[in-house]
Amino acid sequence: MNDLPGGIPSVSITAWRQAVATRANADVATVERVLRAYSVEAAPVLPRPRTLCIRSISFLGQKSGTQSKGAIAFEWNDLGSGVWALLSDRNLRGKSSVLAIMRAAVQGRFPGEIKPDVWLWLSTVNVEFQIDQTRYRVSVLKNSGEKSIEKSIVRLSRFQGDLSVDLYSGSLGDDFEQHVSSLFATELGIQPFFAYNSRIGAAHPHEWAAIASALFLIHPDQKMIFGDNVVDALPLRLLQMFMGLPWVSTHTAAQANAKAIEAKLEQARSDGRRSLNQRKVRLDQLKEREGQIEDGLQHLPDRVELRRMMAEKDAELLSVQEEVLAALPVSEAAANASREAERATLERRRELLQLEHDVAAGYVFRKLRPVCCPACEADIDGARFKSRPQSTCTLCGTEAPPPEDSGEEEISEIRRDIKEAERTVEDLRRQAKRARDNYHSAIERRTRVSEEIRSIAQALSGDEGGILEKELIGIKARIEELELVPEPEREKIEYEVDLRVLAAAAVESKEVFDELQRSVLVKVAAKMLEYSSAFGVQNLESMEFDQGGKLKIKQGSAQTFFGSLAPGERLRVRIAAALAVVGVSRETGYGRHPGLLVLDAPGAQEVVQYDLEKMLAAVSDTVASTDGFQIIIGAVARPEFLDVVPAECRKQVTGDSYLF
Amino acid sequence: MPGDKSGYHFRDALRLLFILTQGSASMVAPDTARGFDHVFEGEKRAMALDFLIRYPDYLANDLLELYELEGDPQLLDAVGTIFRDGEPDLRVIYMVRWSFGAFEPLETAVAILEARGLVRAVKVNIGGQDRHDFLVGPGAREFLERAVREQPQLAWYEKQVALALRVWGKSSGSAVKGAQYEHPEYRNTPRGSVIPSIKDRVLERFERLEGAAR
Repeated sequence: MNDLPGGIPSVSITAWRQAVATRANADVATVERVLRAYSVEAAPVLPRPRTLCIRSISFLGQKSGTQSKGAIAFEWNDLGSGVWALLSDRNLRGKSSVLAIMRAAVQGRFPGEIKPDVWLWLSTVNVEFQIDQTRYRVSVLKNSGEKSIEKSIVRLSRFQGDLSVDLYSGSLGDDFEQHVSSLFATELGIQPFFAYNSRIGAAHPHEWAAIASALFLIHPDQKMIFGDNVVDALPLRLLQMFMGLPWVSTHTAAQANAKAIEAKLEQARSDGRRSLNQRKVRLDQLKEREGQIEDGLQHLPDRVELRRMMAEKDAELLSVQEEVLAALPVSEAAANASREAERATLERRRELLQLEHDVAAGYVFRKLRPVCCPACEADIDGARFKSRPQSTCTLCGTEAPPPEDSGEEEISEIRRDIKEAERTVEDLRRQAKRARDNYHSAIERRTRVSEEIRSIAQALSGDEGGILEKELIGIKARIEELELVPEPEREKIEYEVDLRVLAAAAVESKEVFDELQRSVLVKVAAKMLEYSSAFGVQNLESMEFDQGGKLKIKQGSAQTFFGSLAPGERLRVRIAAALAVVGVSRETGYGRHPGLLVLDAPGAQEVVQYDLEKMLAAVSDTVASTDGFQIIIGAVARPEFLDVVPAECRKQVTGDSYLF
Repeated sequence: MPGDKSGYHFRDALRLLFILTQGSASMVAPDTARGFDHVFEGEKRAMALDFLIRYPDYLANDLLELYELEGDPQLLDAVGTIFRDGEPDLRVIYMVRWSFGAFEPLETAVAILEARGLVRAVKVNIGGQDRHDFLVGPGAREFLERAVREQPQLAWYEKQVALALRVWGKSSGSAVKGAQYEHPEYRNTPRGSVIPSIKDRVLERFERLEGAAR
């Protein structure tokens, strides 16, 4: 950084970008990209002071809705630098409306502060102003009684010599305001400047209309030194801009955007914390449920043990099934053998019975002697039985017929057989019973094992434990998932670099103008102290701007601030501030204050108690010594004005008359 | 069963004598000279009744039929005795089915009875058809009394014949045999094969009726 003569710092744009890159720990290309993305432009050039003054104002219209109906007309021409006064003997005679029309034209914003009834009356408005040597005119044409700005026509014209150019021709509204803003940006070298608005959480540009409000002190209760807008640190920004400090717009743009990003990051962090908190709450809930389920499961059958038992029982079932399959044929064979033996025994017993019956029948039959031949049925002679030996049959003569008890022997034999068979049957029955018992025992075991398997399967699948176990698996998965998920991204990566670059740009640009700002502010404050005292503010000891651009005032050994001053004092200090900024600007050769100040009602009740004449004289003196400064004052006419403001610089109505 | 030993001639003759004696009716003109005062009508009837003595399960079934008609508890008791004593297994004397059903010639038994003057087979012509009847008299009745007295086990035949006659009385041989043909086991037995038992089926019927009677 090389200092220019007079302590004015100088730094090249390249060097500044490099410094930003170094501070932001980024490369220059990144710095350029970020600055471009956020419209942060390096503004190292000291601006040349320009002047703006109102040259004329006129309007026509038709009054309606009041006691004094009829056409209205107002015209005030040939204004220039110096003190100009718009006077009436009484209040409410149209001064504020004239000043409001001036302001609307300069801001490009109709109807602006123009009262609604007056706006309705108007049909033609012409305001001419001059920037340095170039004149401009704003001409509005509308139907009297028309409220809508869309139905009004406005023309913005530039005059250079005999040449006139229409810069804009169309309806009132945003387009026109943009054109006026663009005109002043170009002509006065005033770029819209960025400020961070905490309410909307973003950096936004302040257009010419906002800047111009600092030139029109038309609200008696204004508490700001510059402008009527207290938001977005606008007074400080206006002061810096009017002082014409280099790099200020760079600084304000970088800082405003950095603040916006910080706010965004803070929001993201807050969201992240909320999300983190929600996640923690959810995790706590899940872990609590996990604990409950695990406790519950401890009181339920051990499912691992159940599965082991299931496998064991499966194997047992297989084994028992083999036993069943093996026991069945054994049992059947034994049963068959037993049945066969029983059948054989039964047969033998049947045989025995038949034999016994036959023997018994034979026993009784043999006692009878045949009486006839079975073949021919011829009677048998009884002597025949006596002539035959007992060893032969009486009828057929068969030798040695079977003894009468021959059946007995066979019966005994069969009975022995039966006894033996019955023992065999008994044995086989026992064997069959054993085999059957084995078989049934295997069947029973199989049934029991099957039943056990069924109940284990039921315990494993359908019971509370199964449901809990499934829930537990789900809960563990969710816990794992929640614990694995990283903290919500805070858009950190996305904005980190931008923020670093913008913060570095804000710091680097501020460093360039900071010292200059301090020295200029000291000069401005000194002049303000001088002028304020001259304008009638009593007991002033010192004035000083703090780091935030706030004016600290020592008055009667007491520390106070601008906002705490009495309304009349504020008016004087405000005039002093504008004159001081312009005065310093004229001394240093740089600055942006266009040297226009429009005051409304300084002679109102609160001002009059002070020495108004003295004030006006001092203001007049100051204005006279400040090149290219125009001050237009609207006030109730007082004799003091007549001495201070020359007649050609006054527009005055007397008595109850209206200005229009 | 087919293994049934033939040759229990006295037993067969005695069984037949019980049938002929108990199933006979008084003769209009007794043969006092030969001592016959009752006549048993029809060889076919004798054979049909003999089948019931040889197959106690078939007899049991006929008794149950009658029980269902009459409701006489003694009939049910008689069936109970048949099953309780295992008669269908122990007392059965199997028969082979021939063209006209169960058949076994009676000649040997009749010869034994005739030779001893207990029975006299006669042929009568009824409506142009020959019928073999059997004449019995006091000799036969006294003989059976003595036989039962001396050999009490033979009383079973007397009891059994009485039961068969309780059911069938004086019904013709065709009627009795026709009833036997009603049993599918009997009817469907191939010729030359032993007629099977119907014990299980009749036992089941008996148990059901006995259960209902309690």
